[in-house]
Amino acid sequence: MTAVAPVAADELELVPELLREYGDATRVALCEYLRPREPRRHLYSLVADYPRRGGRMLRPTLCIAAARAFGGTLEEAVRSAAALELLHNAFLVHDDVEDDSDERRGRPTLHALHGVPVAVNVGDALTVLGLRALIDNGAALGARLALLVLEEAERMARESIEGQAIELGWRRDNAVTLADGDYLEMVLKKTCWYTTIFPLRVGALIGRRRPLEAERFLRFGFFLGAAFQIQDDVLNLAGDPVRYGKELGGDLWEGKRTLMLLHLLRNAAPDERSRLSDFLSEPRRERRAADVAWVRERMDAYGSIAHAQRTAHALAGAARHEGEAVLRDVPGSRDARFIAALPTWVLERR
Amino acid sequence: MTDRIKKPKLDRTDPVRNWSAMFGGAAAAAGGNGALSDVIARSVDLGYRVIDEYVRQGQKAAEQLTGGSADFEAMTGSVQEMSVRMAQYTSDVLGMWFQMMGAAMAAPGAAAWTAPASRAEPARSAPPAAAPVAAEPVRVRVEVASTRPVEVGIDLRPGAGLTPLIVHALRAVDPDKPALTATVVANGEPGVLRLRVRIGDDHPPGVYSGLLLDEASGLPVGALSLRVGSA
Repeated sequence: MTAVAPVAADELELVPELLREYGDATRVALCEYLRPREPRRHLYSLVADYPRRGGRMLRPTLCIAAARAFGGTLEEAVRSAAALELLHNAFLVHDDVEDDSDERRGRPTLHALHGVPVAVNVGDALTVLGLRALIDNGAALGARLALLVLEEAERMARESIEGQAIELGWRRDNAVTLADGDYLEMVLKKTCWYTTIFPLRVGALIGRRRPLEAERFLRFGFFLGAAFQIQDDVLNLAGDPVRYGKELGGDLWEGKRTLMLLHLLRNAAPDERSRLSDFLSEPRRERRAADVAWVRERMDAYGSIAHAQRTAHALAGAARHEGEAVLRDVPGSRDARFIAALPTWVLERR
Repeated sequence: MTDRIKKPKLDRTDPVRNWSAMFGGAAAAAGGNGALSDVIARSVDLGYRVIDEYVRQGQKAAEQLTGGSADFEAMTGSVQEMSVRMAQYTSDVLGMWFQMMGAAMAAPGAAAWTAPASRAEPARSAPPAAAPVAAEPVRVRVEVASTRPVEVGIDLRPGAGLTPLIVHALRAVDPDKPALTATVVANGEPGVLRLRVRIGDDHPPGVYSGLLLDEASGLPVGALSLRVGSA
């Protein structure tokens, strides 16, 4: 099953190559912000916990690649990339509290280890460190460009918070009549802005050194980010537990409104829908493993996972199409080829 | 010098909505399953509806932010969102902006110009006369229609005003105060930048500031501020 035009194998190999290369450069920049200092035990050693657990470094790599593709340098982009990674980790810490998640990158979540108050404070610290990195941009980019990057970061943070609010609201209100379009709107805000749109826009801003058109990268970033998120949701149910790094089925335990869940809610028989609604109305800690297994089995029975996979493929196909448009005037380079290969790569993840 | 390698230009200039046709080949390769093709077409269609609506809402919000001023409507879409947000936060970043402008003004031949406080004639008046802002060749004329004293401040980068400019709405630090609108008057007089501001009798006193941008590039080239006194 594919709606995505094939990409040459060596193009796909570029993706892990640049993820490693630019990821390492970002980690070096991160060291400056994560250095041990006091209060170490209650704050700074914990602040460094999530960033040091690894991760693909997709967002910072995309930011640096976009900057280079549009004429900038790694040195000019690396602080923005580091800021993005710090903000990403801040979001993860707070998301884990809000979702009451048990695992992150193969280990217990921060709040599971140290309690909610400490974890929330660590998330706040990561946000402030990200802000510091954005301010430090002034040295390499000049005040005007650094301010424009800061503006983009504010927009990205606001969109992400709004997306998270929508999703939390659905769970609090036990929303069970959502359409796929509702899900995509939420994903646009919650995932796409900080995973793809912001890195692309900031990278291009740094590379071109002038303000971007209002809609630049919105479509490409949206389709790429949505395909990425849906594939992530699929992996949460059907991925390799070691490579995925989070608890398999965690989204079911959390009652997360994924495409699969919305598909099941639409297609299940009335009695099944009623049982599903009751399950979703329960607090996470009161949900039972047998019910989670039942939901997972119904998803297989109704083809909900296949539906999500098809949707991810379709959106990745649109992303490839939009990618051609945004890269049309960009000189051919390793970085441009990396960006072009991403829609295929997001579906190849296991 | 090597030739730059460019991707071939796409035929289309707008998003393609005929998704069934676009991915027909891929869907067929997936087994020619009509239902599968439908899912793909529907998903992409839905995706475009979501993102297009998002863009539309953003444009609407941008228009509301500027109060639908004529100047904004004349702006090109290329600088729209960034410019609008720059205007929104002008108050917040003014210190930083003037710091940058200070560096620019330190260049030889550049000089900031600030008109002295003046009490305008009742009804329409044009208090501050033309004044040089750079060694050559741009002169600035700000026409203020007000029944109250108004102090005008303008900072321009060297050479600003040689190309067409746009002016953002002038906003106060207090978000509850309505913005003032300055317009660039095209008078065909070479080397003269002519700005016009009308201040209503009921407009709250205070300091109002806005950016001047180069119309073509969208880059800030200066700032205009007005201190509106009490009656």
